[in-house]
Amino acid sequence: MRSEKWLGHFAVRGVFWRKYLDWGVRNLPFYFYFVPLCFCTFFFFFFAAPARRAIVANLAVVLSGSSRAMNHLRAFRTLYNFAWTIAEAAIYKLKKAEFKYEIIGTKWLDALGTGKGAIVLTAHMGNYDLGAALFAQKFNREIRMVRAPEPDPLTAEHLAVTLEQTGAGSVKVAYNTESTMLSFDLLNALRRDEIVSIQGDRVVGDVTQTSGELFGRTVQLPNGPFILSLVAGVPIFPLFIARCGLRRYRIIVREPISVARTGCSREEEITPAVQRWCAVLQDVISLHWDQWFCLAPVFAGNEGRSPDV
Amino acid sequence: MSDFYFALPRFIAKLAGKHAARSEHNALEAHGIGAVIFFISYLFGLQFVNLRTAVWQIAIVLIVLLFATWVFWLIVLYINALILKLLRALGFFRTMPDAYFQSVLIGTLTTLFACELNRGGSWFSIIGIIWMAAVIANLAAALVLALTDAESRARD
Repeated sequence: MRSEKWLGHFAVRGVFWRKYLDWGVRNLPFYFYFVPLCFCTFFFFFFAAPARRAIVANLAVVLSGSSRAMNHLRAFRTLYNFAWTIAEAAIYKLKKAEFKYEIIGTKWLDALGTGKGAIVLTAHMGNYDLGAALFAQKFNREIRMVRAPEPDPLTAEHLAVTLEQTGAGSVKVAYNTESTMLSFDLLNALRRDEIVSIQGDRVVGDVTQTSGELFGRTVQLPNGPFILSLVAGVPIFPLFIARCGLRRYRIIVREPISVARTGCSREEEITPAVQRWCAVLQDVISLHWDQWFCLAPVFAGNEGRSPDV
Repeated sequence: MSDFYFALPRFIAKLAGKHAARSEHNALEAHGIGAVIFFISYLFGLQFVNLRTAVWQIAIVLIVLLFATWVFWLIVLYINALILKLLRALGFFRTMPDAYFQSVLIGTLTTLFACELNRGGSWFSIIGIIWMAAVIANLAAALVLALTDAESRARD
């Protein structure tokens, strides 16, 4: 049992890799990161088979008509981007290095930063941890970030500490496990004019869900952000952080989505907002498919066949 | 792309009349230098491999050597980090960043590998010569930049 637990540290989602990354960032000169990151990408490409398969399956739908072989190479590219993304988050955390970023949708970012409570709806894309920290720093606002729980408790602990360090205390992490309590916590946070950040591109665990359409396929998405927006009366800001070079990021903010009370059923009230979110998400994923780190199959039943079939 | 970490490109930029500050933002340096260092150490390892065997055996050896080179660097850099920890406990190098200490080791080892490649006599020697020339030029550029910066500071 003890040896199994010890070996668990080296599992794909084990804490060893996070610690190894931190060690590398602390100890290696910046020009020496490239090679270890390439090797790590190779390692995870072969050993994180479920994640690789999920990326390939998602790409088959996103890039309609693409070949399976090419999608494996694209999956490698996605994992390579993922390696750089988490490495750069560690660089920011440990070295407080300077990062350059450009903003697309400045007026909406300003509205988000200077406004009252709001929901930031994002995806598993680019460097969302770093993005939250940069945002909190720029606008001096506190962000409550909702994440899926890590299966490994030590990794979860390491990640929570990392996020708090990266955000210099302005980024608070909440895990979407204690569903009912979390909903009330988030609602209260929104009523206190805080910003709540949620990843809305896939459903994890038992969270309540709604159907949407992405790339012509029906997908299940969390309905929490939309219900929260409806109940708290706050807008939803679609926001994405895409990596566009070495220590360079693009913050993409789209027009806020409002969920209006119409007197219909709750599901009907949120449907237009879900559809607008799906349209934005599809647009951004089409542009940055190589940074969509959705390591679980999103499109039901798409595995192993072409979306055109 | 006008900011560089290494002295040689900063010196060349200065000669071209550009202002080149020291930074870690240059993608070419971040990707290229590490790859070159790895390539030189890989070639060094390759010298000890018997290539007069079956093609499939050579292919396996070349792949294994790739990972062996990575493991070599991991072990060397880890030992160096421990040495630095020990030296700091004894009161030495307390203000020196870890990356500088590792840079000295990486630079020295790679230059030693390049010297060995140079002695080998094959086309590997050209790689060795290019590396050594680049190291010498970089050191000379660092010296010139240090002297000219000190001079301009004195004038101010």
